[in-house]
Amino acid sequence: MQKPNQAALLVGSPKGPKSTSNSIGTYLVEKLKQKGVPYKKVYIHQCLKSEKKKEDLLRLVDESNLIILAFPLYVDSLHSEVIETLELIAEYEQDKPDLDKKSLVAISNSGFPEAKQNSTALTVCRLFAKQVGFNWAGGLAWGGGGMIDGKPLSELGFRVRTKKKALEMVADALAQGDPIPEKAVSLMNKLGITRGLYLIVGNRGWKSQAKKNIPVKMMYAKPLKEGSKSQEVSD
Amino acid sequence: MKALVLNGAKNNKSTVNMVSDYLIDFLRINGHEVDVITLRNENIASCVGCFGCWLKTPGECIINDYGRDLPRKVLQSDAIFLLSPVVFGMYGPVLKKALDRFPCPLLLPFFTTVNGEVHHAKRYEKYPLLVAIGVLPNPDQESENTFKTLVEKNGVNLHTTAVSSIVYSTNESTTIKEKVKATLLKAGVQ
Repeated sequence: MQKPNQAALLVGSPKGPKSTSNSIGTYLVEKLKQKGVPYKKVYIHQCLKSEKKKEDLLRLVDESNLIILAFPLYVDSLHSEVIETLELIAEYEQDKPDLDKKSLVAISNSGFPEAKQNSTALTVCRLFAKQVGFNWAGGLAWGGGGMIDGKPLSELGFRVRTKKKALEMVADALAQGDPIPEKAVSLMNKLGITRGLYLIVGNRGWKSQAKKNIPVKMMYAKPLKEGSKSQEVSD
Repeated sequence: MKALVLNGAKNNKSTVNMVSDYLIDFLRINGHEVDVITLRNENIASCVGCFGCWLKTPGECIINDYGRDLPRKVLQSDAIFLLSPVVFGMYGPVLKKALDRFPCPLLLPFFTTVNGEVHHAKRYEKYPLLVAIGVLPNPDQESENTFKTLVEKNGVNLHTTAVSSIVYSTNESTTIKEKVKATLLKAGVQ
């Protein structure tokens, strides 16, 4: 693996700047910048809206030798826009020389507390790297993403301290031209609080968010049950 | 049995269409009611991750397009068939765009545990059988294993039984036909 000349952060959440994926990815690239590796960031959701922005994304991938893909887990895998983007990159990079000098890092985050629920999504990214010819520098699985909720990691304290430490280890390694160390993967897998507490706080959190719009009992509605009426949904 | 076939072919030339045709024929010959959606022809936006289907209009997506109808069609079916090219071990973007739109409305936001692992709780009593057929150009063990694992995980998340198989676009049409038939048998669909 080569020392990076530039990192390209591809944020794969449709929420873009307000996403947990952006929080995690940006923390990592900022640490890389402190170690002398410049970066550029794009939001996949915005890039797919026009041909010009797609071309900009592809050119960014082309000019960078470290690609960092940060994305949320969607139905146990990648969001449709992320898999679409990987297909575009694969087509664009096909048959180009020195692809193995380009490294890919993937960070998958989900609201489930178990980091391993991201494993298939990371395997997809590894297979992408393999099939395109990129060097696979490793993947990180972030469980318990509900604790972040799109806030910058620098503003969050003890809840994510172990995971921040993992990202700092990753930045150290990548800046040296090394893949993600196993120790960082293990640290990242730790939830930081007990699973039971995460579930209690998580479920309460859903209710407290819903209360801003609807009565809590409405959260259990079954609008698709035979005989039920559709709710009014404004366009 | 009511079957919903979600055709995730990228274009008219895709082998996914041949799989879809054979599948529909088998199902109809055996007396099943079949609803087919050729996804590339429908107006389905990507999920925007707003959680409106949990926090504002529970059980229904706030985006007013064909994707809003999908959860109803899924729930009213006894079996859903996901047909797609296999891309780096997972569904291609055409199918995935549709697939991203229906689990959340069909489930509650609240966490529960299934075999010791956390998942979202059921909103309804029953969910359809999930059958996924992926198309690869040639044998590729890693992609096939990843696809199989993915479909199994989808089944767990959707509180249903999930079955998958792979066909190769380089196969003869008779082989593809036999593989589709074998998949139905594996899924217990007669």
